[in-house]
Amino acid sequence: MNNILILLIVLPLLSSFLVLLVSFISRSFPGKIFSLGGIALSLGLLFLIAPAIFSGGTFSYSVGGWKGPLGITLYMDGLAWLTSLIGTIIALLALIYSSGEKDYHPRFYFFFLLLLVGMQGVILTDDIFNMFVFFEILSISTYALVAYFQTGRAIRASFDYLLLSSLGAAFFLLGIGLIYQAGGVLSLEGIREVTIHLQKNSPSMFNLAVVCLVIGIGIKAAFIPLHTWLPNAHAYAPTPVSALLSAVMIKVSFLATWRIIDIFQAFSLQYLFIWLGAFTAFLAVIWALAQTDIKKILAYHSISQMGFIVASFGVASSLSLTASFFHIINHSLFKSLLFLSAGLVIYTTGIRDVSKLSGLGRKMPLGFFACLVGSLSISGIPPFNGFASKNLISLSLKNYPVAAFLILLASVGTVASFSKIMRIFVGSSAGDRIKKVPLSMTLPLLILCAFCLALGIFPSWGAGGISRLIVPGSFSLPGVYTFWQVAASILILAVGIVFYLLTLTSYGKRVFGYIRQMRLGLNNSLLLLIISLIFFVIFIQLF
Amino acid sequence: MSFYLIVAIFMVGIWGLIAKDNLIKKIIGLNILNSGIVLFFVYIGSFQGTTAPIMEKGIKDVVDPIPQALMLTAIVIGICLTALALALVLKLYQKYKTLSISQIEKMSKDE
Amino acid sequence: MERSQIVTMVSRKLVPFILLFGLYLISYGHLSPGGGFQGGVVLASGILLLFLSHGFTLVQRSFPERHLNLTELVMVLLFLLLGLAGLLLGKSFLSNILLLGEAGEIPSAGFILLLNMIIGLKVGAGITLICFYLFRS
Repeated sequence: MNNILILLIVLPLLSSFLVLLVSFISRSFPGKIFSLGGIALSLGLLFLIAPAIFSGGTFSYSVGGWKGPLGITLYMDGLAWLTSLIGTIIALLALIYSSGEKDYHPRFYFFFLLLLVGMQGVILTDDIFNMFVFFEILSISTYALVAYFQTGRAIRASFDYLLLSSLGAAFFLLGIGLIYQAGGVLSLEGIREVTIHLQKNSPSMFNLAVVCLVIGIGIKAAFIPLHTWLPNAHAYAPTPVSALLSAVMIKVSFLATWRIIDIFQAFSLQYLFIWLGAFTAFLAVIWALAQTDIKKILAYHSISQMGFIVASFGVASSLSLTASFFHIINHSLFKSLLFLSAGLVIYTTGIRDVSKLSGLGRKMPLGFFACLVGSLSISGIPPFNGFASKNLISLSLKNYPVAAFLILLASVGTVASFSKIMRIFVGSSAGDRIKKVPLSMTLPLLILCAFCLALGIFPSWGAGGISRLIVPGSFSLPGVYTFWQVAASILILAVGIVFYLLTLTSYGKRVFGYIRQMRLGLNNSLLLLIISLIFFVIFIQLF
Repeated sequence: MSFYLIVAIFMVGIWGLIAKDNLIKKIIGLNILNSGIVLFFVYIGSFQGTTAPIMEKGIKDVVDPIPQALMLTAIVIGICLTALALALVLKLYQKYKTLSISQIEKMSKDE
Repeated sequence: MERSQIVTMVSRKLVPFILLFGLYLISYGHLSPGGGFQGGVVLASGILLLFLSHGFTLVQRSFPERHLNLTELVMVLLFLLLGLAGLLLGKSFLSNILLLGEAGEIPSAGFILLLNMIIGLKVGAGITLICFYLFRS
């Protein structure tokens, strides 16, 4: 049974190289079958250990039979299992989608599977240096995937991302070095044991190490001072990759941050996350409102939704942690749904600019339906899953009214900017016929719609399962479908639509046109990373 | 003393990464940064009077081999990153005919 | 630019020794500093010296790109299969499946030598390919 942990990593790796080898030997043989097989097998393995995980079991595995603290161990608990499951499911759906979209080079499938290897490794590993290695596998494959189309914009996005994230990785490595120097251990469990000792003996060194580690991964989790690479990278990547990046990559990075903060007990940093998250949610929505490129809007909303997750994580009560994780899962589902349906729009029309599209609803009813479900989910309208988790988040932010208010404004902005996306489906349509969509592209959308609806209608099922897996002890989840909450969401919907109409006025257009021009260049983003590092260090030293 | 030198190398790397306009120089800065970290790890494990960690007869004080083993991996990753970054720079150069990041950003402003 | 006689001559004489040194590093990796990665890089540097001094066509003849690609892929798969072999024999992934032997001898330390060879060939092929692609375009 324990062998499953290593198989989860080795199977995608094996199939990724098989794809390349097979395509190298014979051009005609469809190598992507291996990628499909690899991911489907990992999914099967995950389901195989589901009963044991739900009865509270954990798995651990030492690679090569070398036991800790020196050997590399893998470890899986409920949190890791759930993340791994959601990542694998979305990877499978994105892969099915990609096989219909266009004829990708085998290299694409190779890097796609390598991304999955990195993801599984980061989730499962119990060794901080090993985590770094898997993070680099994850990031290197994403750099290559973002640059896949080799247009100027895509390459520039990938290059910016590479430099920023490598600087982050360098700080991560520095943090590992500081920890090893002070504590002499590398396994996460070992670090948990020496944490208290270190905090007392060399607090400033310890704090520096924690901040280096958090910033190093935080750059990939994209909360606000570290978000600058994300919009371009997500917007110019191939659509299945955008879905996977939004749904998996930033989530996994954030969960690694979660684990680091949990293990190092950096509670003051966790408190800072409430404010970081609230501002992230609010500011990113403003930038999202200013965009016209459909995928860029979605990318900015990824940052904004990360803000919801981060803020809720910062509160650190059992309710808020459950809400945060529930929103992670929901966001993975509806954001991949939205990205895939945006890809469908781009596939059928070839246009990315939302202001140039209209009347698509009659031509592609399925795309319209999928996009509608995704938009309602992300805006937090019942009975979709976004409603459930956003409500839990606002309940958990009860003691922080300013943050809760910012989150509320972010919700209004979300409704407004998704009204902008939904507008492309209504109105009069241009007469030309559009491309026919293969079944393999629509099937993943329908499955994701079903997930969104199921988790929205039975929130206690989803959130309850999560709280059982990640929170020790039991607590009662508050109900989601009360009258006031439904009424509030309808009110948010109304205000959001009014706000959208305001942005259409000439004054609103001028303001948002100005905001759209405000972008950070590469040098300034790198500088911002260093400045936020210094800010984090000062903050953690003072509090 | 050597610790301050390592910090200086690290800082030079960051400066090269941020302040240089040329893309190749940025990548060189990244490599200097990585070398700084490699030196830091080697510095962690070694003390005066210790020898290489090859277990033969008569050898007692050896340096801590773990940081060195870790750094081997980090160097390999650094090579991968450098290769990928150079490939991207090559493509950028073919597209924009310049290596200066400020000019590339100016050119792609209206995209 | 004209090719210098000295460079062509010296590099031609030097390359076999560089390759030999790479093989030495690979095969003594489990006993002394060295190992698969370092040896592989030295192998690659030998090929690259030939490439820089004699041009692409000659290197293509003795080290065809297709073979290098194939070497790289097959070696990774071999590595993974060796790892899985430990799993099949009831031990864990990448655990030793050969006899340990006596410390200090060349065939010792179980299958580390085998892994070193695999990694050495893979790294040699990989680094050579990276430089081929970068130099050519």
